[in-house]
Amino acid sequence: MRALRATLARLVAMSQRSPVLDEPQRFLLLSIVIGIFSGLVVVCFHVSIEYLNWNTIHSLSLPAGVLPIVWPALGGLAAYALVQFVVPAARGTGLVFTKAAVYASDGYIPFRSVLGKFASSTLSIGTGNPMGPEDPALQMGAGIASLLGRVFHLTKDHMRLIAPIGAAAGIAAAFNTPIAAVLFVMEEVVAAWNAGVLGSIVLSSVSAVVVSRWFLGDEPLYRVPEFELVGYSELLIYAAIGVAGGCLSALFTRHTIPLRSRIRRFPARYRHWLPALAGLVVGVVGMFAPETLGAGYDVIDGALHDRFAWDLLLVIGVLKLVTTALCFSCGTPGGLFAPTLFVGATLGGGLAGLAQLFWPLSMSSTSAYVLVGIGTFFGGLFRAPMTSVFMVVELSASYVIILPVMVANTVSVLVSRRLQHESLFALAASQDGFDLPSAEERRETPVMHVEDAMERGTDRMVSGRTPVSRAAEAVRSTGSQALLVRIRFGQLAWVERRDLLRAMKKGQGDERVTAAVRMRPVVRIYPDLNIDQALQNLAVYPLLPVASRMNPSNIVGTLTIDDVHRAYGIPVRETVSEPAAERPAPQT
Amino acid sequence: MSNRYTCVICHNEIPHRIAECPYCRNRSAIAEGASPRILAMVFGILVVVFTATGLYTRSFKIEGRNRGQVRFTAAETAMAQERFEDAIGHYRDALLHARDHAGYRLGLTRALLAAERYSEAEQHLGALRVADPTSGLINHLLARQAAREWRVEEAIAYYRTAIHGRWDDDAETTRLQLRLDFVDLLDRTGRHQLAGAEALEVAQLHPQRPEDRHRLGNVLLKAGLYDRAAEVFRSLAAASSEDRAAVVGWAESELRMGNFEASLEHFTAAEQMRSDARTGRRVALSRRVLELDPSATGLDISERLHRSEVLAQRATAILEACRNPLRISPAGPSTPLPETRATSDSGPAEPGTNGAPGIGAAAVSDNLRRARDAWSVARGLCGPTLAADEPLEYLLGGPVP
Repeated sequence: MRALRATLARLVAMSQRSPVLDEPQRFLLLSIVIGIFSGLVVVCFHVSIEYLNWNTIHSLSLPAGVLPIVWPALGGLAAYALVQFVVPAARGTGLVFTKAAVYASDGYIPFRSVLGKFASSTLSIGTGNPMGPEDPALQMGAGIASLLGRVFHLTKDHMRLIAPIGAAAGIAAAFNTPIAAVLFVMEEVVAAWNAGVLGSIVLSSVSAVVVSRWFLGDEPLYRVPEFELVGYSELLIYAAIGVAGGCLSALFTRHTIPLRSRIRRFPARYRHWLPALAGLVVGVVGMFAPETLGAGYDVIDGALHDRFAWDLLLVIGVLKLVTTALCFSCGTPGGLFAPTLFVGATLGGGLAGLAQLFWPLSMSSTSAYVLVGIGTFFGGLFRAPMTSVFMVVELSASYVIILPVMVANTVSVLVSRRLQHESLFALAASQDGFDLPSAEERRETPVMHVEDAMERGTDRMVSGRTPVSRAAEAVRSTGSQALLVRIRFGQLAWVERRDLLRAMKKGQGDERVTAAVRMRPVVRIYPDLNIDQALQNLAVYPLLPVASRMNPSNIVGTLTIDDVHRAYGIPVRETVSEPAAERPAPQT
Repeated sequence: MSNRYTCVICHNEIPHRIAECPYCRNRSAIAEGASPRILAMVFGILVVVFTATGLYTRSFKIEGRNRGQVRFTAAETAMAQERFEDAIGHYRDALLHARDHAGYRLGLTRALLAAERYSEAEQHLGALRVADPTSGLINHLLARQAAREWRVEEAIAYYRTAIHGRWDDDAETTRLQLRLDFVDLLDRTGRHQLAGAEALEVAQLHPQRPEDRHRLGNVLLKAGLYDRAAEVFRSLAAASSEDRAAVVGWAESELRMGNFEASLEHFTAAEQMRSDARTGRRVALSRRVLELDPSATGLDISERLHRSEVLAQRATAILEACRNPLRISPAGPSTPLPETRATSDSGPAEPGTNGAPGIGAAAVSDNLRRARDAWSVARGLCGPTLAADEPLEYLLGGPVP
């Protein structure tokens, strides 16, 4: 009884001492909570855009005439004024600000930016400006995540990771595609396949989609017709669509960024009116081509069901491209995700219609090309090939499509990169005053491995039976501070140069090295390890044996800090001085 | 109640909220000891936001439904006025507000079909069928679309599902109409046996409406069930003596069955009701057939023999023409002519007692056999390109298909 009482008392004391959840548990719980909150906010965002849309450009009660033309101008102006004068934190693109939170501000995103983004993007998209709600949703998700992270007092490391988790939730709820959202954030924001954060991103993304479907229904954005690849010759047409998508995305970046830069140099008294002017252009274009207004999901849906002739598809695609570029450059709030899908879809459908006139072999229906085309412009502009491929596969729920999509999107990304080295968002970030690592840059940075730096062979290793004199000679000839000694049964140890020289002074030159000198334990490393992993060991051991993965007792080389310096091109002092103090032996 | 603070890294209790843990020197790692309170607060906010979002989306959906209904009404009006493009636009708008509304989608599909935009219509029909696979209407529309594009097997499958599917209004009448459409399709696509079987099934339903019975009679006629067709048309004509179409159908059935006198009688009756070119041609045809028919009533044996000879000669001439259309003797082996030949010159006819057939009757039947053989060979050789001789067609084995 007394033992039970003591145990209970201990438990009570423990529960009073420690918080309810530890950090990893809180992080996982937070991922779900972030997903739910982001889902709820994005649902409200979606509903608000629709409400505004119904009461402006698609009003049943307001008279037709001039009013539908001026709505985008009024909306654009109001949204711009809001982010310019009331909530400056909500300016710019969500993707850039989320990346800035990850890399520059320890995951901090002010919550007022969420409110500002919500209101400004609702005003802009709801009145028919040709922008998408995904990028604002991404920023809102990241902002909510940041707020919750602060509320839960996460550590700095976790705070840096919390923004991408929210971003994934926001984009998943807005686009109703959890896999594409996860891939987009991993590819574009995090730019590293970190397993720990991947689990949290998936959790938040799924939670957000569940919430979104709970309230808005589980109907997908597009009703995708059944896809069929009639013949492999069609892949040539898909590749051509990829080339066109890549060229168009490079062209878009090349013209939009300078235009944006030029507009920013305008005097403020003119610059502030430009979103209204852009909105007016949108309104006039929308009068003749109403398909270009708003995010345009229903138009993509229509294109997927052969609603438009190929020439009309090309015309509305070009008009959408121009109006989107104009609004983006003028600073109208909203994202580019939906417009890029729109342009890709119309490009695919239009080119397919054109090909049907000349292509001598049988072809799939236009809708198949619309579906494949969706990701081409997106892939070229965002430089996110994985996302663009899996987004289309997720939308179509068909694996047959993966081959044409991979062909078209990969070609698009390659062409776009060839024509325009830096992506639109890298350039936009730079214009916004950020120097953020681009996803491509991070992907392409070469990683140095042990095998790139190690000294091959066993010059720095002697047998345990070797006399001290020969070992001292070996250490002198290699210029190394230490020497590896093979003891027996494949066991290794290292000896210090100083110990060897001291043994020589004592006249122990003929004795076996194992008998005369202190053997110190050593750890093996492998040729495929990253240099930074090896460096952690080099902080403790001056010399590391590099073993073969196939046979760990087979030493293929050795690695010292000087080898690492040489590999990185840092000059190494070749003269060896006697160490003043004895290096502390590591604990075994 | 004062808050206690804990370092989330080393779990040591910290007396005050400070920037750095005095034990593990970790920054930003200070958690409030009252974590449950934070959790409860977050959960409470979550419930509030959840409820607010629920109310907001509910009002959104109600508003969406109302707007959808307004658009749907406009679409229906446009459809009634045959402004199909306007109707399509309105239906689409209605669907934007309720994407899973089957009624709106069905309306859009009908408008698209009316505007002859078949491809898009079929995509919507496909989506509707996924949602409601047993709907008779959807399957019927799909069947018509498949038949239009000559995807016969698909059309047959859709028709069968439509016939046995769910119909909300006047199911029996609709099913009957569908069955008649189905028989028509089978007949048009050369599936005559299947068409006949289906037509027989339809006949057993005993449709009551005259228009249905008319269709049934025509379907039976097309399916080669002439006696059944004659029965249907006879009953129609009996029910209404002014029903000219029934009399014509009856006459046609009799003509196909070889009752040429009855056929002439009915065609003449129809001609008297209202004269038209087609009926006039059928009257003339019936007369010519009757003039050639060796089995017509009231003929003596010599007349029968003469008519049978004429038939045999005409059939043989057609066969010759069919074998050698350029009148050049063929190099290869030819199909042998029917061998025996009995004429009125080969010997006097010997009338039997009371006009009963004797040797003359044997000659008549021999001539008829020859004529039929020659006709049959000619049909086999020339098929549809056979020289037209309508009376012969009806007398010797029915019209060429």
